[in-house]
Amino acid sequence: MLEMVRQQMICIVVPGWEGTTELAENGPVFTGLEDLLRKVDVVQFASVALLPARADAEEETPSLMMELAIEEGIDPYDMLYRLICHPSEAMWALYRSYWPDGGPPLQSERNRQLLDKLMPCLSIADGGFIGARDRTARQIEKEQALLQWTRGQARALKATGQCGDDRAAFALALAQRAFQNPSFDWALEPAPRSYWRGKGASTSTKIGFVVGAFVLGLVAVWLVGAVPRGAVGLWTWLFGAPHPDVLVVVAFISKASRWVLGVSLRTALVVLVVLYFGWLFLVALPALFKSWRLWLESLWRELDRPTETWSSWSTYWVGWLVVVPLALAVVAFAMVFIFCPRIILDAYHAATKELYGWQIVALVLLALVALIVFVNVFSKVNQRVAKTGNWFFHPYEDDVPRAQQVHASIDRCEGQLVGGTAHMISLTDLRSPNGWSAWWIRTSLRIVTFAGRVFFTEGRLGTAPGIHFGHWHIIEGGRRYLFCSNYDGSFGGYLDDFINGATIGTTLAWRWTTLKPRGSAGAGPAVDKPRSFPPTRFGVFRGVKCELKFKSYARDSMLPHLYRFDKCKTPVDQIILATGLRDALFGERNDRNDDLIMRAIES
Amino acid sequence: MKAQEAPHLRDQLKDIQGMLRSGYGWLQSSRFWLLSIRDGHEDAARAWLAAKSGLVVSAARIGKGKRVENAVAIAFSYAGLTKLGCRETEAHPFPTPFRSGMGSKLREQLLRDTPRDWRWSDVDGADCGPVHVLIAEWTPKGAGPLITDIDEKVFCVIKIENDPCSFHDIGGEEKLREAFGFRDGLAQPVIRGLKQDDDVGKDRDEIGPLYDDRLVSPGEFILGYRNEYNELTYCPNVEGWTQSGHAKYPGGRFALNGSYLAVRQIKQNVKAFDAFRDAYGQEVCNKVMGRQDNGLPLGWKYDPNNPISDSQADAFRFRVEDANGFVCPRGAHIRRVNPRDSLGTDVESSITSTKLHRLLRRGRPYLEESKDDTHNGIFFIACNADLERQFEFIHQRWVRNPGFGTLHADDPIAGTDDPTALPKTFSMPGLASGQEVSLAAFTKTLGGGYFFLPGIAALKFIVGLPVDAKETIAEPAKVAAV
Amino acid sequence: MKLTPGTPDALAPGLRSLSYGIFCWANRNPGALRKIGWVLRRWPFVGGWFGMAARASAVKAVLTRPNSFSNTAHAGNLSAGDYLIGMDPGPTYAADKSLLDDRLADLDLKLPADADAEVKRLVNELGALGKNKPFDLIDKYLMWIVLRAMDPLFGAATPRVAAGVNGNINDPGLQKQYMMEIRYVAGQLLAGSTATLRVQRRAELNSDALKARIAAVRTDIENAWNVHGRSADFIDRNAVGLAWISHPVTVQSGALAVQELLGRPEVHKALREEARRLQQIGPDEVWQNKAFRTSVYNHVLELMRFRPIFPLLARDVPRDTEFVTGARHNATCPAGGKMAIWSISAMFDPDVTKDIKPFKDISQFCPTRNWGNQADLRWLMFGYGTRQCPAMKYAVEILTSALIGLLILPELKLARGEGKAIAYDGALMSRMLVNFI
Repeated sequence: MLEMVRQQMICIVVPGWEGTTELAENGPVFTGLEDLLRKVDVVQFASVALLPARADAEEETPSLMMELAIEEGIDPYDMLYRLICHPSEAMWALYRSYWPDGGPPLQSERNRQLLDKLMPCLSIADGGFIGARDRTARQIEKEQALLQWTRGQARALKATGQCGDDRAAFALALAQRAFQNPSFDWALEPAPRSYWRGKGASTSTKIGFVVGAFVLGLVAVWLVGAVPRGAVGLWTWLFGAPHPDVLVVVAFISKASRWVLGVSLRTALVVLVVLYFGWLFLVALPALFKSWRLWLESLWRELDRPTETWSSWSTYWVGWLVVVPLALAVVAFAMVFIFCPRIILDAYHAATKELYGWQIVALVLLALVALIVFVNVFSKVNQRVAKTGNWFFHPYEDDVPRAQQVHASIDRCEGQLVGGTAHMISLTDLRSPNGWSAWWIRTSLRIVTFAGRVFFTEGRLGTAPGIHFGHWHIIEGGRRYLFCSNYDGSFGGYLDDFINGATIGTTLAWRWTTLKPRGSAGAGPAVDKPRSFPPTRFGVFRGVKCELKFKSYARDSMLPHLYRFDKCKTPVDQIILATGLRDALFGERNDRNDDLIMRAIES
Repeated sequence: MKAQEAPHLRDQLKDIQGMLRSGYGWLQSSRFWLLSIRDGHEDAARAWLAAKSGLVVSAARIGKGKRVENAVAIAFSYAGLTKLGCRETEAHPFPTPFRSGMGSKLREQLLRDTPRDWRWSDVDGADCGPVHVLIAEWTPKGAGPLITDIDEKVFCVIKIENDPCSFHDIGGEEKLREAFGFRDGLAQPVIRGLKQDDDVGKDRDEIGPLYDDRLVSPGEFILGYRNEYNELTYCPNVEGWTQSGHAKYPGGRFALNGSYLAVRQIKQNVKAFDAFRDAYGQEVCNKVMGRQDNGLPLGWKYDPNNPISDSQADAFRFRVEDANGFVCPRGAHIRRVNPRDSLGTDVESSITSTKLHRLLRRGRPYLEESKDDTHNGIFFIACNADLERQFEFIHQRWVRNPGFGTLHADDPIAGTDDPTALPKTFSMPGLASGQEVSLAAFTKTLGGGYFFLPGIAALKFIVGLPVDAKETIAEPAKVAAV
Repeated sequence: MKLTPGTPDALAPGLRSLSYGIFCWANRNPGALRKIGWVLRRWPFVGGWFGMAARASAVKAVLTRPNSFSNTAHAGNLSAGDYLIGMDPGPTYAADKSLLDDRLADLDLKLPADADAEVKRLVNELGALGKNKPFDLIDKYLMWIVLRAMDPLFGAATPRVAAGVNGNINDPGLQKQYMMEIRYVAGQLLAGSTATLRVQRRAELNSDALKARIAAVRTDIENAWNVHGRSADFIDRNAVGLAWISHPVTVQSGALAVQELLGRPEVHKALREEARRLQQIGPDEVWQNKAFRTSVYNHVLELMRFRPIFPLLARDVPRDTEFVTGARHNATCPAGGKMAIWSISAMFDPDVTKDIKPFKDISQFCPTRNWGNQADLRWLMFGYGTRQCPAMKYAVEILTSALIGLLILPELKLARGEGKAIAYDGALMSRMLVNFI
């Protein structure tokens, strides 16, 4: 499921670019590529850029990077095959300088060699998010045409005054016109959506899916044990005891099945309890008690605070000294409960052997009271200490040199795209040890991808809007980290959305990177001084909340594009609106659909 | 990297130019001078500016119970700073938007201004070349100009003259109205920590929690303070500043206590707007603007004759009561330039996000009377600390973005004046399907630039005054007890 | 209605791979399908519940009622656009069919000579390979034979169609590209929307390429067909359809037949013996001996009965109807539903031949079986009645030539090297590595 998402975002990074091909913006290479990508129909966005070589790389020549954002379900090989084997040979024109001798004379041989060269350089996204682009570019274009047409019809209909203020009659008249228009026959079927955005979009379906899969798994495990057991029983009843070896094997299978069942059920129980406490402390208690809510907010704020203050510093260390050990203890307890529940039961029995039930209850109550008293005292002391701490621990700020600087080439690219979908390419280095960083990044990205596929299906990642395709790649054998994004809006606004709307995911995805010095490639910027990603806390806090550092880091990691392809320049909100209009116009006539039509025709 | 301590705003008021604290509502005449320093006259320019810097009013001199009789502010474009010999340091250069200038080709693209037909800018100009210095003065109604002795040999001058009809008596108080007849300057952010000693208590009592919507961190407008991200706003530095001893705050950089001004001279086509009013009526004009002409919100449910404070008139949100724009259309001018709580996923996140894109507006109406062209307009000045995140974002993503939200047109008032884009349409949602009207180009931008409004110490540094020239500065403007 | 291209995956995760896995497994294991078919024949009411026809009589009855059981069931799978195979009878169908018949008539003149010539060329080429050198029977042998034998379909335009509008007509790589293109389009006919998204999207990509290829050489095709004044849509639709349906299906049938033959060593041995005997008489005797050719022809048909290319067929049910399952009660078919036709089961229905003497168990391999008045049942893998494949005779003719070629080459076996000898791509066989013993 995740691979299907990851495959939609491809980067082909070919090292050793000698630069003998003329790559002028309106030159034949890119006009040919534009023509090819338009004809092939399934590419939504593409860009070409030069990635400067690493400072420690053997070759100093840059790499030629091609980014493709394509429709769902296409295998990267099939995509590349289609592009390369197109009769226009536009891909060959782009890459021909990798064959200084001009390449083989036969077209098919050229295609084969180019495919063989590009496939190893191709990487599907290690993680990514797709906003409203689970739809194909063709669907988007058609639905936009429907939206424009409907607005025109609505204008004409209003001019006639036929429907007056009757919304239902107005919507019906529009729907009739749309039905009668043969060019919209495609709209008769509901807008195609992927499972988690269509049938599986509701929370109950999602929970049902997990519960269903779990129960089916349990049944399967149970059957593995029960069927041989039943068979042996039947055999024994019919013909007497079978061979002792058979009994041993069946007993083993049966025991293993029971063990797996027990572990699974206890794991489910642990997950439920953790979820319950999570809900209790993070949702229910804050809703009930203002003091709890304020405390949680201040805790969050102190962990996220981009500057060092006494309270943020102390919160961090209390986290390390109390919360982390506590969390580890809970995990250890859960593990023991899952795998060796007997130990806990025995310990409980041993401890309560001499006690009556009322005594146990009293002890629990006493412990609770003690805990509340302790927390209150700690809180009071903490407030005092915080006040005193702030008196001598003056807030200070790290200096962020060369902030708010944008390289001319990056500015130029942004200026070009201001009327369409914005685009960024960011290239950073992995923190050493690379393998460790790469593992963490991949794990984080898979989580982000999963969340994007299953939960954030309304075109927003967290609350960050406007992303068409955002994807991350670990390239060059785990040395560098490439981020490409196609989004609505300006770069700064985009990062603001991330800082406020998807803090944890963004910090997770970037915190294992650093920026090492590198030269420039083409007209792009160089990195003169090494830079670190803003410091994070517990992996997910702070980080991107340091706006100046984060934006400066992101800005300095950026590279300009040489070429950019945008199949349909439609913002995410507009795409969602047009799909809604299609379903409303060709759907059942009810108040909801009527109102949706009315809203869609107003601009 | 050495850690830097944050200054306290209240200790620095003497170093902050007064226009960041107040719009000088009681000074109802205003004039603006756009000066280009002629080549070879830099020293003379510096000397003249040094003399005028005495008119500049600091924020410490205004506030509760304190009003000045007149005020001046001086700001410099990047070209101006360079011309006057300021060289940014390698480690702390000016932000790219300021350095490239609003008049640059690139900014034209980024601000969606194409095509421009400008008279002046901070990058070039038809007559004078780039504007280097912006001087603003505020004087009591009917008073003559404060600045009278500009040497045309030293400076090439563009003067933006006061519109004497811009203030009207409303409810016994003189209130600002722009040329289309609408109350202006109502929705201003309140700088946290700066207005505390003004009317905050009263305002908060009147409007309750909505007051927090307009409360914005000082770092959003004044460089060197905490902004909405809880960070100190980036302060550029220039060579020689640190050694000069001008810095009042230890370790403070050149730009501390300064601000960036995004300035645009916007011509208002009053005739076209009047014709529109005649065709559709005042109510539709109100919808286009997003406010009633008397300043009340469109959805005001109470007696309009019962006077309310400006603060109350600005206490509203869109999201819950007017999500679809039945009251205030989603494309209305005020809803585009300040969407309040309407763009995010909920009220809280929307307000948080909108606070990152607020402007402190200090513009005034102007009147140009000449043989060729007599017109009204607004000399728009927006103070902000991050041009990219504030002015440019608002202009590019909200005001001039035809795809704002799910709309299909840019701002009905401040949108493009490109004749090929006309007539624009404006939709007023309604329960059935609302109404659509055609718009003409009501405004046209004649020029614009980014200026840096320095702190007072930095101003002295720029114009070459000695560190101890403090006393001479405060003198010329008189303090009047109110 | 045709599926919209590029439809995202609307099935819950896991369901598609499960259902497609079962589908592919069933296609690769006709033996299992035959066993299920036996159950359905034995208790036909079970099939009735699920809308399945399994007995020969039921299958024939369904396939001869095009108004009740419509071919449009295939339409959703035609990623390259409309074609005869997914149309209901009507003017478009009639016009297209007439064009198709004209094209096929050209094959009469050239077959089996063209096929034989290409086989002889390849026999010489492969004969030089030597022992234990694995080669792909599909890529190196069957594909080329079918391509050359089908040359007359596009006449003089064939080289252009295969090489593309700008391509060098002597570039074999481009011809191979063309063949892969049509193979993937054809693969979609079997799997349809049950296939994994990758398979569907690959078919769409290749359909797009094929359509662009045909549109670019439309004038050449018009001239070759000598059809002028018809719409571009008409030419493109039929040229695209003719390209993808004919060639890959024949190649795939050939591969299946060889797979079956290699699984029946005694049959294989007997045929090789006969070929060797004829070769001893004269080098061209295998090609000229009519009785031998007929025998091989029958073998091909019988092999295909055991491994049919379309073991199951689907039909749409446009209106409420019922069909005779063979059980006591007829089965109802609600409108809007689908009907599954177990051709593989019908071809093994013992009822068909029980009265024919001498009786031969229909479940046994017997190329020379007397089918009596049920001879048409032998061709059931190509459809039946009004919608039977019009090119089936040519396909079997070409495969007969191909099989004769294999019989005179050194003896083949599936290569046991790295990986499996037979590689599948979904329901299709994509590679069949063999070597000479």
